[in-house]
Amino acid sequence: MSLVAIESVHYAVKVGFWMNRKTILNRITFGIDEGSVTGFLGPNGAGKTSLIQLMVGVRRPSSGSIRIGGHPAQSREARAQVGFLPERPYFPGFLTARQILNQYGQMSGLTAAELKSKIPAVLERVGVAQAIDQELRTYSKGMLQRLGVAQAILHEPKLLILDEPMSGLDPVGRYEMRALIQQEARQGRTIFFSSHVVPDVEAICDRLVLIQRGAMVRAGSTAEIIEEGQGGFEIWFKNPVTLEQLRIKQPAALDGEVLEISIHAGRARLLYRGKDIMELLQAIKSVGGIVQSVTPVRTTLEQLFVRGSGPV
Amino acid sequence: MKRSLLIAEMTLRELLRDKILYSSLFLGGLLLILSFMMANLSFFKPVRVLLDVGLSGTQISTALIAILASGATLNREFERRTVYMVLSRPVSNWEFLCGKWLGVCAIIALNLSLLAAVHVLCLHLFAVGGITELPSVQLGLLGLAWIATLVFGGLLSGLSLLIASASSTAVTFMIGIGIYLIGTNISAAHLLVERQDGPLRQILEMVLRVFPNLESLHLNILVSRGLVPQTHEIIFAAIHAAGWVIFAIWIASHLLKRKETGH
Repeated sequence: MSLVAIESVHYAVKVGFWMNRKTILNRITFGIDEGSVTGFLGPNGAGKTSLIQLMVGVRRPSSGSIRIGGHPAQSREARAQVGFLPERPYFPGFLTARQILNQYGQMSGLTAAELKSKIPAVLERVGVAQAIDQELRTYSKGMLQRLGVAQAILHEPKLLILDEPMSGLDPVGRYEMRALIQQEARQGRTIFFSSHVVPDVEAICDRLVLIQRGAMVRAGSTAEIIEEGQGGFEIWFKNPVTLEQLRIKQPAALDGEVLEISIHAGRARLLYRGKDIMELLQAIKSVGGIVQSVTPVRTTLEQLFVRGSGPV
Repeated sequence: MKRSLLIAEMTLRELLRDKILYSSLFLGGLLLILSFMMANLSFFKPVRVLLDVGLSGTQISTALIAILASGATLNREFERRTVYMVLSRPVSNWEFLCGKWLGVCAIIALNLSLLAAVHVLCLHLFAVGGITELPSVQLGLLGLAWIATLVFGGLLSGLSLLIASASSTAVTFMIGIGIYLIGTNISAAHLLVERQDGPLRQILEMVLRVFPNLESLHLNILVSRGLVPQTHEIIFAAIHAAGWVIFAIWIASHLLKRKETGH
């Protein structure tokens, strides 16, 4: 069941002295299923933050609609279901984690009594419970980011929206943030997060949305998108033979497409995009080649991301 | 209302750590001391000088805090993206801006209390020096002038929030100062307009009729001369200010959604 329904969203802003209209998002349509972890991929300037701001209801689309749990994104009902972490969140350094969570919790409608037990529990969950009464100026970047997640999940929202949660973090911080997202996902929370770091998205998302220059490139399950990028096999063998020799001796085996054959220090590397790999292996053997390895080749998300496919 | 108070509390705590407050407070204090020195040098009605210059100094300091604090507090929310953490919750733009306005009003009240204390101290030193004693009616009027200055600060803060909801801190400051200068000299502006002819005069008259009248909240001349303002004037000035603040925050709450953050 879709928790979020984004339909034909168009967003334009007025820029410059003459207030010319500039399209930021164009005909964006996709849904987010309840309980899913959706990665939102796109290069810098693709419109990720703009779409997120529309989803959390702080901006209004020029046309189209965004509904969360059946309610318009700007309604109080929708916003009560959302927890949001902006990119590189700022917290006043003179406050403690307890004080800042108390403020945000009350704004989300939690009572002082509820917050008394919730704040230590949520800080425990994000791993900064030991620093609950420390001033935030003493926090590291990673701790502040986790505090950002804490303020977003404090009121137990159905949907957690994170804008570039790994931005500015070192490898340890990124690993911890990934673990935190996975932990929240295991608890059944629907998570939507933007990133331009492909391996992070590939590692933790079951669904993907790709945008480029404000237009949607692709949306679907991560497995499906990776499957689509299945690109044949890479075969290494000894006693190299040329492509011509193979063609002359075993033409039937080359039914599929041999993309490339190259010789490296007495070994041959063959890239093959065909279905019957066994027949090709037999053919190589029959012309004297000794097969050493066969590896499926797939187009990584990174390649898809860089290549882009044009708007759908 | 509860959410607005939470935002107001946060705004106040942040502004208390802001250098803007202290520089404006310093300027106000300096003008009060100047009024004390000028009164000492004056042979003709020194208390009038002390009250007039002192109240003007308090008002200038209040205006600067109202304009600068309102512009800075709103724009900073966008620069730091904290506005999104607040507005992504069930908090309306109206509640958010009311909170910001209340926070700025609280800092204005604090500034005013400190300057009022310095002003009273100056008056007391004058009395100890045996130069003169302030009539009790003028003391009452002085209290009224401080309340009017608080309302004046609130009005200017509401207008500055409106400007800041669609522009940068620097632009807010420039337009805010413009409103302050015209609004506190509205009678002079009317006289200038009367000298014009044709459609320009009609347009300017219309503009001045709806322009925020800050002069009606400037009671220093009345206080220094011991003149009691009419009750209906006070009530009208208060309604005029409240109307403008509500209108400014309402418009600002609509403009806020269009405010760009540069990314």
